[in-house]
Amino acid sequence: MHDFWPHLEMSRPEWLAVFLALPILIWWYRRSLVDLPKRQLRCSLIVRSGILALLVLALSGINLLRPTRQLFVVFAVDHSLSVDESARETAVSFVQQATKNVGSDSWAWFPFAASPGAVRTRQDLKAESPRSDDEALSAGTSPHSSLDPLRWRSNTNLQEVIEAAAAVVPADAVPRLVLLSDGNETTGNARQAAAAAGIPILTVPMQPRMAPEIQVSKVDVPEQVAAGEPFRIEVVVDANHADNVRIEVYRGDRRIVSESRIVQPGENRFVFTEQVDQPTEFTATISRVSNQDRTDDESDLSFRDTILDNNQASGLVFTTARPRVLLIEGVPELAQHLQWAMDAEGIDLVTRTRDNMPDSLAELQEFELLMISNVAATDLTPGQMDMIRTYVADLGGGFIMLGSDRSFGLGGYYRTAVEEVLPVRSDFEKENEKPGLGMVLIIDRSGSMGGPKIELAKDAARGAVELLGNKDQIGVLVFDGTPAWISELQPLTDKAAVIGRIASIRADGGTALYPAMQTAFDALRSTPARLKHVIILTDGYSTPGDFDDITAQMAAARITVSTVGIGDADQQLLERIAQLGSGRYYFTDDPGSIPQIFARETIAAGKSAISEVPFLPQMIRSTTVLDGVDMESAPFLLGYVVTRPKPTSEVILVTETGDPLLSWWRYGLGMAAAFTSDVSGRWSAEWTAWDGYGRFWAQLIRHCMRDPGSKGITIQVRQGEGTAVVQVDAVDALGQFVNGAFIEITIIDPELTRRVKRLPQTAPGRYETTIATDAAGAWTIQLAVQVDGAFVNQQSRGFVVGDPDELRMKPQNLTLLRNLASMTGGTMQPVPESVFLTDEDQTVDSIIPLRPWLLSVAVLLFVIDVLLRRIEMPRLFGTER
Amino acid sequence: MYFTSPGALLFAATAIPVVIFYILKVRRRRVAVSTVMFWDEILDQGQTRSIWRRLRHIVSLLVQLAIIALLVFAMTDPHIGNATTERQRLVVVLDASASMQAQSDAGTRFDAAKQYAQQLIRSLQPDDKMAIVAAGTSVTIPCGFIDQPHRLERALNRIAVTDGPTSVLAAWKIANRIVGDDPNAQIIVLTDGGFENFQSLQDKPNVTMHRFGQSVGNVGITKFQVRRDPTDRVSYQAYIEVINFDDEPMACRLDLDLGVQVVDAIPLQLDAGERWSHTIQASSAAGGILIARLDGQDALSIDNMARAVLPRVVRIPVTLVTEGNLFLQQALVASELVDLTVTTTVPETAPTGGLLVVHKTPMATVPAGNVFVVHPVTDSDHWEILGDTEFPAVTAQDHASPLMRNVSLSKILIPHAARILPHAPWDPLVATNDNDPLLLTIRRSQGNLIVLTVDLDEGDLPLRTAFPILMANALNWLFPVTGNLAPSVSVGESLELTLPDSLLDRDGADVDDNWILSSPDGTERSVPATKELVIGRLDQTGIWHLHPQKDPAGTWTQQQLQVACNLTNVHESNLRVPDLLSRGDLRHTSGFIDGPMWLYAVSLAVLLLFGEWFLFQRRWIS
Repeated sequence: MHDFWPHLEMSRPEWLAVFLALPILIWWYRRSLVDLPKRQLRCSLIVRSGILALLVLALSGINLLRPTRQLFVVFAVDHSLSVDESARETAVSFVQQATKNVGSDSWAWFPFAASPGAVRTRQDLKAESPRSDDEALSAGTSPHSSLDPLRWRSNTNLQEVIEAAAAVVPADAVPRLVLLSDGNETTGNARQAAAAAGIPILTVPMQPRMAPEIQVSKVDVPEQVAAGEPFRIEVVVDANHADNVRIEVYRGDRRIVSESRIVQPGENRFVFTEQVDQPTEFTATISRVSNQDRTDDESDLSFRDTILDNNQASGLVFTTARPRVLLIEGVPELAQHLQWAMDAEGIDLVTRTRDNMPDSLAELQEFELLMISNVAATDLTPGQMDMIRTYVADLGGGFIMLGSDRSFGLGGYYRTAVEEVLPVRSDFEKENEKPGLGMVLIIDRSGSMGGPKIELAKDAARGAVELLGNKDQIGVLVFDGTPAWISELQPLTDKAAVIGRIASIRADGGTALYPAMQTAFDALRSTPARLKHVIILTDGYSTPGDFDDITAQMAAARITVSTVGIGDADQQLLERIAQLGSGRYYFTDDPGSIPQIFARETIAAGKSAISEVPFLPQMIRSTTVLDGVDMESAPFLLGYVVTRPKPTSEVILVTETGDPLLSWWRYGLGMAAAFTSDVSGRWSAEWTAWDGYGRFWAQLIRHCMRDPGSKGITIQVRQGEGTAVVQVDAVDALGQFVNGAFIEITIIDPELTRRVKRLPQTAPGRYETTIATDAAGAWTIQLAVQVDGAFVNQQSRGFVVGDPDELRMKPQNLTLLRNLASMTGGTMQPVPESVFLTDEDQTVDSIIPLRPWLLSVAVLLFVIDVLLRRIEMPRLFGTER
Repeated sequence: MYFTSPGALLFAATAIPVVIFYILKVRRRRVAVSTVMFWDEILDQGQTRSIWRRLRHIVSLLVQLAIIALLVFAMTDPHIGNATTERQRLVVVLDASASMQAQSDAGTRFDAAKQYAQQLIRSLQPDDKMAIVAAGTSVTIPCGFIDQPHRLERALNRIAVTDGPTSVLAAWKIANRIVGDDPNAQIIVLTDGGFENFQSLQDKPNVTMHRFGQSVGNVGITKFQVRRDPTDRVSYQAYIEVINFDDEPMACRLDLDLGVQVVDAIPLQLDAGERWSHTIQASSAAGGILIARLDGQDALSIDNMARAVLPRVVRIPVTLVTEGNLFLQQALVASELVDLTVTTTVPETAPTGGLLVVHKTPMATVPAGNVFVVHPVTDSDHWEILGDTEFPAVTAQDHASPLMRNVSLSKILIPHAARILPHAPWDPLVATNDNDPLLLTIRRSQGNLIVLTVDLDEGDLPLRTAFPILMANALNWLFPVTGNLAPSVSVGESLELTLPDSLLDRDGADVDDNWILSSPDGTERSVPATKELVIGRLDQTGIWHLHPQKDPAGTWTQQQLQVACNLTNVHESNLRVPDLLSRGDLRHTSGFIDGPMWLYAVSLAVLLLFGEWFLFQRRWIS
């Protein structure tokens, strides 16, 4: 039990030290020279000591503390919209009953909703309506005056009213808060405020709104779906009575649902299925069913609704970003069919010519997949080919090579970084079908070819030798001033020996091409090979000769001639030779590309790399990737590039001869596929008209591309009061946390204002920030993730900030009201008469300063003191000295 | 000047009897003596001292009247100023945030602010009213409007500085509520300005801000979180950010300890204003409290230490049914989190929360729970054995599957494997050239089922590093690392917790039992028992514990629910003081130096009383 006895306190106890000086009085008294009776002097000493004691106590700030149980009760009454009007009358009568026999205790009436209203104390109310407390109370229930009443009533903030009540109570009264509310707070945290305020809270539950009400509480949609993926829209309708309503769902501005439905009291969920291709806002509304739509059964249900503002709600669905695919097409006009098909399938296909192939990984990173068509290795730099390998292997990008006469082996990809990535090999071996090829490589070994040029030319020659089969014949002829066989034209039974001889080529001497051509012609003319081909490599101007004649002779003997010029070569001459020789002319400044040119030439010369027999694709391995694509109905393809599958690749489609048509494999983190026919060129004219064309390519691309949606980046948006916390968790392909990433979000508010905010890292792999969401409507955030300066992920999310929760129909939050009461030592649902019952444990000290009394007594004592020393009183004190 | 209690002047009437006593002629006593021979001599001396005697009486009277005057003066409680106007209404907002703990030679900023508040209280005149609002982690009102300085002082003395961020703006709102409509009321904010938007307060007409503390450098830990690695349940990463809030470069050392184990010690050389962040990777299965410490002394010590709770990794009971395969046994034991039991009979169910590994053992029905079957030898309810395959070539492997992370079986010699046909939907992870699965998962409702058809007794799979990795992958896949972030919260924040069912349903627990939240200093508060808990605001740095009110089974350990709370607040660690209005003069001073006028009057009266007593006793005065 609390000690109810008064007690003392001193505010300056240090002054008590003056008591230590009192012995001085006695000492002087002992040494007194005064001629007064001894007892009178002693009495004088006592009086003087008393005076000093009183003064010292006064100096020490002594006060009497008297505990008081005087109450100051604040009646905080919820005026928010969620509370029923009749409940407020009940609240008034509760307060009237509670305050009927108050006595000397004080109280105040405190309306609140979104914020605390004006406090009216008992005296204020009396002054406003002096007749009686009851009338005063009725008059004083008007809420906040300075705010738009409807806006003020659209929220409930219990936290602020508890804090404000603590501020209202004067310090010398026992505080008590009677909270009359339905307990449905929409902002603030009442528990926190109650814990901090330290005021006993008595909670009186108020009845929530009773008037007939129907509302759309929520439109539940998934945060993110894949484009085209069907999903459920759940419209949550709360009602406090059975009714018949028209539910309308809008997709953007377009109405997609308009149905009459019966709602039951409580929560009703209506489910619709939809699919979207782009971020879409869905809005659901409820309204009265028009009379003509009404059936007889429903005729007794009329639409009864009190608040119309809550008859609409929205939800925002985001689609995973449209995948971006880059198609490098040597012949851009051929890409049109694919472009249309991909547009329809929700894939952003960007077509570029081979000159516009990205040079940097950062640029390539903007795409989820790279497709190459009609682009030979010679059109790409070695750097670009290495970049493709890194893009697939390390960055998880997708890669598809399409067939054409510039692809695979024919494109000179043999032994390149790109060939490593592909699931097929370019060095086919189909000995039986292969026509015999006789080929002479004429290589300029003049002095100007010294250094890397001759080495690369040797590499190229070696590559060409490797590409040829046993039945082929090859001769390597070098020329300076005069021609010389390095390896005479002979069947290629011993590749190693030929390669060994090629290694012996040295650069030296002049440039006389004509004799070399003559030598090659002589050698080829007598050889039995069905296909005969000469490749000339030179970097300078030849001494004169009748090139037209020798080339014409060669052409007449069905010997084709291709020419490769490097650097300062006589381009005009070489081009003419190639033209007359029915071959191809190449010019390059980069000797590094010579091996690709030779490889391409070798395979092209063999002709067997292309099969132009119409065939129907055969599916040899079932895969979910092509689910829904009817391969049975696929039309003829007119040709393809012959390749060999690599051992671990998955071959899905083959030609009728068993060569791979479609195969893929995982290369590093990415997926690479080879489609050996073309996409809309000369071989696939019939395919472009096929029903499954778009779907086939879309599904293949989606299978091979880097997943644009996740890539280990998870976004969570948690909505709070007026804020949203955006939290991003990032892990890489190996499942490791991504630390040190640079993550930014672009926030687009309902008014379409954009602002950019950075998400700082807060934990391993976690980045977060808080954004203020002060406007109702659809909010969009776009996330951009950069790791080491390269964009690795972009995603969008959206959420809808709805109308305040105040308008949602909710039952009383008795848990909160009970908690508030129990954690503060109050009670829930007290009887009105008990509100002013004093609690023995709850007292406040009222302070009575003792100084005036002490000083008064001291002054009076001083008069006595003077009297005692001034006038001798023998009758009282005797005469003894 | 005016008197608070002018009625006390009536006590001046006590001077009248004193004067009367002075005037009253003291009647001489009649005493019989034997001779008057010496009297003449004395009377002669008396003649010479008569002037002093007269004077002496007057001095005596004056001293006595002075004492009365001083006491009456004190009783009236005099004050300088005008009695009728300028009644003050002051609300003092006292910043009690962490940055106010910053030390200087003269003590902390908080001490200085409190001292200033004390002076304000002592300068109050009668009828002046003051209220005190403390802006610590949360806003409290230690004293509402009152005109009693004693009470205000008592309330002021009770305010303690907190570890949390300041809530001056919220306190200002409350102060405004206390002020009400009074246009003359003033809100006095005593702060070091260590909060956002302090400028917005400066512009308010009724707000006066006073600055405490000088700008000083400080190095503080501003972020610290630890998180279990998603791919390896024993590893963890700790993210730490340290900022040098100084205009000079600073050198210090960052120590990281997990219990008594030293995790890392990093020497730091921080440029002026540098923000340094780092992720540290280490491993521990036992977990514990990870503590980051900055060595060296600076003005604020609270941000030199941060803690994080590293949850203990739950051990996995694994039952291995085998006639004996040491490699398999070793591969399982290699995971330090496995409690392995080896048996030869297939149990009815897999161990709760664990894994059953069945190696080359006949089994008609696959037990419920997580089961890993190695080399099935007979048909079961989930598959049919089609025969054996010899030297199968691995042609397909699902590299994307977490079970196959860092594992490749393509170059491994496999002399024997069972060919099985699953009855339920299944996913192949490794397949042969004949499309027979070597490793697969079978979907079923009673738990996860993984089947490896390879005969481990032959071939080199058990000898390859891929094998223990495969087993570890399986454990990680079956028992994913959940709840890998036990967040460290900043002071002043709340934490949302979802209590695991295992804690709510433990033996002897009552659903209605409250939970107790213990703060680092041991104070406890009750938290309602719900699955979704919101605890906070946490207002002290250190480790908070949450435990059930009742624990009849006595099974609760303190480590089960811990929350680390750190300052980690850039505004509080930044001890640069913004250029606010500097300390102003008090508007009224009723005392000369410190204290009310009556105090001086009474003190003087005490001195006079001593003096007068001495003079009287020594007969200097009468």
